Amino acid sequence: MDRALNLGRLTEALGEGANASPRRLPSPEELQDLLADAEMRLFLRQPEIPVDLIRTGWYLHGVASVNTALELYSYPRQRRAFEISAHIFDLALNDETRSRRERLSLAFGSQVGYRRAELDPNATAMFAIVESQLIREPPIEAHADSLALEAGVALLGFQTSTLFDLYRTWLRQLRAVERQTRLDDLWGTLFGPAQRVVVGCLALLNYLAFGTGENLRRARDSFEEVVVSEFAVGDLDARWVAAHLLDFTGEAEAGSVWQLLPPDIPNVARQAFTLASPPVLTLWPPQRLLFSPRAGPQPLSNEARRVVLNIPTSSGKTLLAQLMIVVHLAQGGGGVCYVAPMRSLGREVRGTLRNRLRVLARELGEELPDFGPQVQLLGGTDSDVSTLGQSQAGADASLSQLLGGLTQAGGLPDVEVMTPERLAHLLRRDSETVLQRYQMFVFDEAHFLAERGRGFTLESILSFLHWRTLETSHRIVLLSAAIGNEGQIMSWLDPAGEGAPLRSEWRGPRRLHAVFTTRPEWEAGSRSRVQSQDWPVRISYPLRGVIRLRPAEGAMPRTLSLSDPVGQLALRYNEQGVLRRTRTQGPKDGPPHSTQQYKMTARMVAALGAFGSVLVVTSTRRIAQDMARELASLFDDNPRASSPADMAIQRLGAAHPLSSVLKKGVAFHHAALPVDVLEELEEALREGTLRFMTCTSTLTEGVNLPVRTVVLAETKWDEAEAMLSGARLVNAMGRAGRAGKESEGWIVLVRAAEERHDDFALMTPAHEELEIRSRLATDEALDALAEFEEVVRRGEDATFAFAAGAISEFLSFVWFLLSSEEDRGVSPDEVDLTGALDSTLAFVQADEQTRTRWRLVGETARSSYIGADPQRRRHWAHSGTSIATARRLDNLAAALVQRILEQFEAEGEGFAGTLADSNGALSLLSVSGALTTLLSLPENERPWRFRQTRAGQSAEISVNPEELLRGWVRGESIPDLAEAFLAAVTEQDWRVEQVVDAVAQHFEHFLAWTLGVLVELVNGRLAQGQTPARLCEELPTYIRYGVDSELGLRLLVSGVRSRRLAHAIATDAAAEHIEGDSLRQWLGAMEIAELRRRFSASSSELLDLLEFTRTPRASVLRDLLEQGRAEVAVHPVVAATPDVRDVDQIGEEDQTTVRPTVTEATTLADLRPVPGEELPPRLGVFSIETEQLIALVPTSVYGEVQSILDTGVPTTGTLREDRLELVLASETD
Amino acid sequence: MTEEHPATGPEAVTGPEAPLDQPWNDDDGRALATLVALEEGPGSSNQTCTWFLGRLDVGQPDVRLAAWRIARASMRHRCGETSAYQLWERSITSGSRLSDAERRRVDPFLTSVFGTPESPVPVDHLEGHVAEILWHLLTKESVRDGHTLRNAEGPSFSVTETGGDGLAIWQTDGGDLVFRLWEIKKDTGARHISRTISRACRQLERRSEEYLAKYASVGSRQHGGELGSFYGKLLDLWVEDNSASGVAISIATSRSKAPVRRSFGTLVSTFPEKARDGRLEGLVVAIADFREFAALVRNFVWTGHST
Repeated sequence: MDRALNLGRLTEALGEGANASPRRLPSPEELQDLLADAEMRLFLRQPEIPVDLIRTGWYLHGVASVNTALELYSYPRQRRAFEISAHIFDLALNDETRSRRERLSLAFGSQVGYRRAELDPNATAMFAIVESQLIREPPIEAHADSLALEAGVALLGFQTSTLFDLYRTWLRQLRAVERQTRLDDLWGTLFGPAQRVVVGCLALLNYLAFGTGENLRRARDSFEEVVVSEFAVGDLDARWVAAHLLDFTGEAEAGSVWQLLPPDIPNVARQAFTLASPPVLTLWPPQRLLFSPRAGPQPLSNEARRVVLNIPTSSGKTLLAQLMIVVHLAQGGGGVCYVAPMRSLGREVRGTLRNRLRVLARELGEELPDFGPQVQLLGGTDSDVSTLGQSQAGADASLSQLLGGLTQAGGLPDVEVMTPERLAHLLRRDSETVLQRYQMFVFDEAHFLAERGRGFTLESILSFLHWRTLETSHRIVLLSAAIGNEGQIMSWLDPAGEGAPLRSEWRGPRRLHAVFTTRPEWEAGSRSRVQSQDWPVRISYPLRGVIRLRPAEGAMPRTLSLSDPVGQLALRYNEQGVLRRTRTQGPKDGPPHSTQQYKMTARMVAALGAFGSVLVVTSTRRIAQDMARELASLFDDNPRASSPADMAIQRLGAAHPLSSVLKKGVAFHHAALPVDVLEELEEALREGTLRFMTCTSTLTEGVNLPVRTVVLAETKWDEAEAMLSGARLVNAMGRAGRAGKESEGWIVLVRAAEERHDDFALMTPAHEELEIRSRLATDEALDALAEFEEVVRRGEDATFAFAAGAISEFLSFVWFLLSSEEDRGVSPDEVDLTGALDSTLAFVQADEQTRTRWRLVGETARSSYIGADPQRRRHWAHSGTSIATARRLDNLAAALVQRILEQFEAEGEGFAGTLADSNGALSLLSVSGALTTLLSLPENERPWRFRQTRAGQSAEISVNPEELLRGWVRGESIPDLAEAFLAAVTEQDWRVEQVVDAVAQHFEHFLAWTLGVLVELVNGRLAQGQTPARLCEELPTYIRYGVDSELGLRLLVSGVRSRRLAHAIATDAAAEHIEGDSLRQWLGAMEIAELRRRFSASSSELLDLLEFTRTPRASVLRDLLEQGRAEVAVHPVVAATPDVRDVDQIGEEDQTTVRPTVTEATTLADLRPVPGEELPPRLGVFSIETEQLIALVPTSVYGEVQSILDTGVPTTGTLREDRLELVLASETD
Repeated sequence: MTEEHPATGPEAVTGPEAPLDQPWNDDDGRALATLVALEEGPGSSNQTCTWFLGRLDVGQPDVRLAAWRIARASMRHRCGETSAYQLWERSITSGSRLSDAERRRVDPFLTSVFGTPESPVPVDHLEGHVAEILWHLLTKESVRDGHTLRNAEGPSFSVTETGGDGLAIWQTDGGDLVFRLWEIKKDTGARHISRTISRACRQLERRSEEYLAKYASVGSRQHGGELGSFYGKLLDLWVEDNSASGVAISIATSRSKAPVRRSFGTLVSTFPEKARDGRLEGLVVAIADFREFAALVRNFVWTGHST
């Protein structure tokens, strides 16, 4: 439960407490009631706040605001008073009937309170509420009375991307007043105080963004002048703002990256935080943990080789990791491997890291498949590895290098974000190079260690890395929001006890917890008769939706009822009035039957959408989808959601249920949707075009995005083991409240049961539930261990008897250890297996007896390893399957090789060509039965099966995997594949869902992996012989991405998400004989309009292309920030006529006027998007004098120039022929 | 400080006092309190509400003098000691018309409370501003037995926002500091003045903590010593009903609406705990037809525009 309304805090803020005066303040209990009532009313969309609450808010603000030097109040009390007053003002801001000035005043009071109470993101959220109240248009006289408030509110919003321009606009307007009045300075006049506040704000912004001490002094002087001068007496708000900002300069300085980051870090590394989106001008308390005094090495220093960070979601956990990464790189550290177990999280991390690294002119690796191509993965040459961190623009990367993550045309990426599975895969293949390649490993969501299914994968790579880097300078960082035993985890990785785990419970947005139940109106039942001998009487009772809200720990929940019934409960009785003991639920829904729970929940959820985005977590895909459909039925079409709806129609077809619900601003998100569609949905939710998203609780399918409200609508609470418990529950609840966007998040638990007083306890996981226990320590694993021992006792070959489960995973791990050591020249019988196993979490947590038993398993594996063929055993280690399956695959490869040799013998060179082609290779795999064998492996968790209807017993439909695969790699759309292969399925969405399942589970994951292993084994064997025949080595990757060409693949592994677009471009490029990395230059030479027209590219597809065409390691932004100037090549524009034309009239037809023609010698110019264009607009260079468009930014540098505009830093431009020189504008420009 | 009236142009409020004479030549230096014959109001009592009443009849020459004083104080307040102020004052005292170029130098300072003859602001803004300047001038020059004025906050450059009008801090001969939080209103409607007083009371009841919080945050930094410390205690003195705290209402109205008996009863009933020791105060300044008086102030301000 949230602590914001705890009595202790309220008491501390209020001080001595109530007195007898009629002006007395509420007691802490009364204040808690007032606040709880206000929160409750928000649920009912009644934002009015009682006068007594506002009065109390201002009283607390006054107490908090008093000059601390006077020591009238204790510092803790003032800080608490700031916090509570900010909360009250925040609530008051929901009332939009208040005047503009009052809203600005409340917003500033709230922002100051939040900043001073170290709840910084909430201050940014307040800015979002009143941003529309800022006036940018002249004349400034029209809002001189509110200007200081506006300036203060804007500053405390910390949005650097807009602030520079805003302040400079206001100062220009004030200078116009100076010119008009012929005054050198407006100080002393009615404009003076506000002008000084704006000057001070800009100076403080400049300090926070660029770190120049002179600006800090100027800010202080400006604010102080307003506070102390008699001249300012007529502008109380300006003085009030100045007084607060004067104090704030000290806090901002102390909390800024300029003060906190180590002195040897270059300034540009700090600017990666202050200027890149989202801007970080001051650090939040959890990030300051990195700098607080502690025993052992500072977490940021290279000496801190093991760091465990346990801090809540929405508290800047990822930002904290970014700090460590940027500092690590800035200090010359080697590559960083960021491991994120959820795709959604990986995408989030990648998005924010990319912005920061770009300021540093560092590169982030692209999202690559978990199981890469079976070519040289990380085995680059020494020179490849040595390019890390160096600029090597323009180097042509081979496809295999690209796919291996080895290079991105400009040398090795500095940071890569990957799944645990990909890292495990890389380690299995070449652990030495991995360790050479990366010096820092960051594991996000480390509580995944305890997750069923994937937990041991994570544990095994962590254990291996830990063991192998005990004596090296490698760094391992664990991040989590849900580690109950971080001390034990720390001691696992840091047995010498050099450092302690970092823990914080700080959160920005408050959390409000509520429980939704339904209550029958027993007195309003309506009776009817049904044809039944036993239970002929049915009584239907209206069900009222009830929300109980608990405002604070220990506080009594408050109850409110939704005004209209949300459904009905239909009960059956016999003639004697005896109730039948089952509730009539099921497919027959609605009158006269009981209403299904998800429908009732949907009505409640619909009401919550008015306050911000809502994520509904459900038990199954089906319920997620039904819930979305029900929600959508409650709304009209939403024009804002038309873009994602169009995307869904294009990729899934109009008949797919997602397409229809998206039109209403509702989406469902689960694994039966293609990855690119999921990404688009996440983007739409992030941008606010979607209001509702339903999803399942499975973390791997989970949505990592923060939202305003999380509704926990699982229907299994009463079962012994709820799916949403422990870390999963913490993770789901952690989504509530978007830091920086809103100050409060709501969590609503849906209970399909009677109200119970302990319902709220379901939202508080027990401590032991959050303890990370090794998967080898579970009862299930110990049972398997006993089974293994039994097999050994029977004298069977136990190593190959287990193809799944804990034993299999452990055996594979040991096998990998032995293989990895053998690669280093250590004989298998000399490998320190005991030392390696002691480095696992399992061995830290197990007792000695259990450890001994597992060691015996390890020694059994060693014996089998030693007994296996020396060459084959190392191949098996690479597979990532169980050892039993690896051996089976090897045998399959042997059979295939035999067949190939025979056929080659018969058909000659022509057959080699056929095999090298993806189609030919696929045919062989199909005809030989290899494809069927692969699909029957135990590692394939989902059988290759298609059904007529969703019903489990419905008729199966035969689908040839080879044919479906061919359609997939040919680039056919999901709806087309569904129609072609599942025409017998009448339900359109069931058709699509089954194809998506096959694609997601079998093609993108399972076959891409196992086929990759098989192809490598086959080609390895073929290479030993004389025959030149090889199986198409790209085939597994083609299958992973659904393309059939190297160019298409190149696009898809480089950030282009749309398969359709990749195919379209690859086809055109091939026709023009474009090869390899020249694709980038070819596309980069096209204008945006051409890209749009030629490839029918949507806005989001164009954005991907602009990112693809960007020159790697371009340093325009870095040059600008470091040297104050930078130069970019542009395309001068010659207008069709010499007349001055309205820029808005320049449309696509003017593309033909773009040619590299020399204009005037030099022109002062402004850089901005061409107005009125579809997203993404062209970036234009405009003459300052004539306002004419005089040049366009070419596609190849679009991304780099856009990143300059994104920072918001003011520049002045000079166009010389086809070169635009940008100079960082000084404050006085 | 807002009272809803339809915005009317300068013609509608240019009163019978025009054309203007030259009060700057006739200013004999009498205190404003003397001009308005300020005296304790009927029924004033330091055990309920201590209040003062100033009256100035229609047609009295002192009406123009008072209007000039207010116009000058306002312009000085808004322009500061700048060349723009000097330009404005010189054009008035010399009787010369401001050239277009000169007007451009002065006009930005007329914004929000006067406007220009071509683009006047709503009269209620003007009247509210005049009421504030009137209060401030009277407060600054007031002398009380046993009390010395230490600081008077206000008036505001703008009157578009309600409240936060004035704060006066006095020091007693005993050395103690006391404060009065003032709500200043103009009263120009047909309704009884008590309605305006009631409105002021409601506003004080709702927003006094806000005003005091803002004053406290500034004053505790602006002033050193005991005055700074006193500012820091304003909120607690207020909510604890300390004897150092007080509240007051000032009304500027027309002569015809000057109360003839005990007023400010609503102030007493709103803040009964402060109805002792002179902690509730009132001020009514009834000048001519106040709406015309305010227009007269504005005409003085605009003299250079029309001469």
